[in-house]
Amino acid sequence: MGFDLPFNVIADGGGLMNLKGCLILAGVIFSIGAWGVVARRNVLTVLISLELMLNAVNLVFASFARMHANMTQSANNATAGENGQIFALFIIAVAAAEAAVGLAILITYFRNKETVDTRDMKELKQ
Amino acid sequence: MNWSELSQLLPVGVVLLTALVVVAIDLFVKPNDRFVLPWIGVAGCGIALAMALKTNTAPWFAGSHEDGAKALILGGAFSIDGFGLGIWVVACLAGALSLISSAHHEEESTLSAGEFIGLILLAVTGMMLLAVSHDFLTLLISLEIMSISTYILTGSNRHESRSNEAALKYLVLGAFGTAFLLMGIAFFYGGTGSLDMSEIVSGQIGKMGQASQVNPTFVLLGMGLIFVGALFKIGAAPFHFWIPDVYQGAPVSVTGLMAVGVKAAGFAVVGRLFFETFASSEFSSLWLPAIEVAAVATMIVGNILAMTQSSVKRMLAYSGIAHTGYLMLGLLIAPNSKDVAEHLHSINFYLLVYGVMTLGAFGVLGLLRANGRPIESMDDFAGLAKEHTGIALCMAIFMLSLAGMPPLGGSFSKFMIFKGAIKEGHVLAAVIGILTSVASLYYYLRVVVKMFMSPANDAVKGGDEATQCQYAWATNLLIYATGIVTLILGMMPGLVF
Repeated sequence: MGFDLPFNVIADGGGLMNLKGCLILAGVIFSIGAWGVVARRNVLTVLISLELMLNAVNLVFASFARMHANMTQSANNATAGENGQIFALFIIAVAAAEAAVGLAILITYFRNKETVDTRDMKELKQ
Repeated sequence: MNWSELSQLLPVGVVLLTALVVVAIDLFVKPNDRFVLPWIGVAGCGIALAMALKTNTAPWFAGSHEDGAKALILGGAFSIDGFGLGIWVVACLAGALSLISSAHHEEESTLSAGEFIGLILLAVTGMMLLAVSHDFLTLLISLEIMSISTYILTGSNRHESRSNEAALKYLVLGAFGTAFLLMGIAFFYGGTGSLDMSEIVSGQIGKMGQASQVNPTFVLLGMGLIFVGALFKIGAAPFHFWIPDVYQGAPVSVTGLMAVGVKAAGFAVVGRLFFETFASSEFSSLWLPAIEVAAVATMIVGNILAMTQSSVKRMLAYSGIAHTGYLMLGLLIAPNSKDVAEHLHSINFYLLVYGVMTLGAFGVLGLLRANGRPIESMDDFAGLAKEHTGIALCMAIFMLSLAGMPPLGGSFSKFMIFKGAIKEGHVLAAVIGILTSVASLYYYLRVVVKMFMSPANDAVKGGDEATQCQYAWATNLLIYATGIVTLILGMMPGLVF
């Protein structure tokens, strides 16, 4: 598509930080997390990978928030930059709640089965 | 704070308050008096249901096909409209019925009664908020209220490793789906600078490409990721694989809540995203074919795999996947068409009918016992009609209605969905839907044949043990009531359609 991506708009102080770099980093972290969820066999690692994915999302939100804060001086939406930061804070809270529940469920599972390996989770196939 | 706007969310408040009250009362009552807790929860759901029906922005039950006056409240955080209120009704119904069917076997759950019931009510709160959320922030919060409650409920039989396993799988895969959804929202925010669904719709996307504010590449990427996350949440192919395991491992009443309430809330979100946020033709030309492919795949996969199951609970899980596919046919409409309201109306009606019959079927599964456990496999149903003719008849009604046999509720709702899809020109998808729903008769009828034509299985001690449970009468009543309602909805759909 012939659209210009606003890749150089994260101006920080006098220096220029690259939006493209932030997004690539977030993409890499997200992919590592997704790979971990799919491929790793230890449920603890899987839970950590989930946190990794959510934190990649936070990174994307934070970079876009900075981009919008610098871009939208003249725009109708003056709070565009704040929205993303607030959303990232909410994701952090939600991720904490999810991790707490996940670990609790994992502990009850471990008490019954004495394993945290996904290869042992075969009771629910007929 | 604007109280007149806030008061439109009062039904949600009632459910939330009931959840807190139940948990608080649980601290003070003696263990013998705990039987009162589920009924407080049922009363809360019932009041919320009545209030949702009484709201004058709910034209869905007034027989009108208009989407009704849409009221954006609290700065666009929530949108109170006919579609959302319809989902409220389904969610409250799912909550109340699963509370009733959990009342008699709550002694099997090691969670204390108050927490179990409080979590069910919290899940219903999340579903209701999700159905009307109109901002990505409220969407995230209500989605997580619903999901986290259901994760815990799934694992509430905590001494049974199957329940633990189901909860763990649900949590991991649910959070995986959420992460994709959130990544989609992040790129969407990057592209538009806003988290409000309606603001994006109204102005900016039309000027795409020329306005510097909207970046189409990011928005498209966001839409793709949101699409994946949404398919995960409603359990459509190719992201359906978690459903059978989770439904099978969860306690029966929780399975009913998930099959009906969570699915209804998911469809509310999908409908809102596609018909409000991505409604412009640049986007709908992309997601319409994708939905069509996913719907066809979901119908085929769900129905074929359901045939191979020997566990009725797992079979109902696969049939739930198939029904997700039928429901997705209802989304196959160009968002700017004037028939959108009618399509959403069909989806609402379908969810209501599906909810009634599915909750009835799960009620049967929860009531009867074989060897001290809730009956599960196909063989457990052998000869059920001799001992429990009434319940077997109701189960037959649910099965035939799920398959879409004519005089029953399931047929009319399916008819409306297929009719809508054909009217929009998606004939092939509708034909596949009809063929797969004919094929589904095979596995639904297997249960009926087992009940009425097989000799009784000695291992099944159905009613004797079950009727000794304290509230078996309530579940019995639920089964008969849902059976009759399924019949009535089929014969006189005009009552609510």
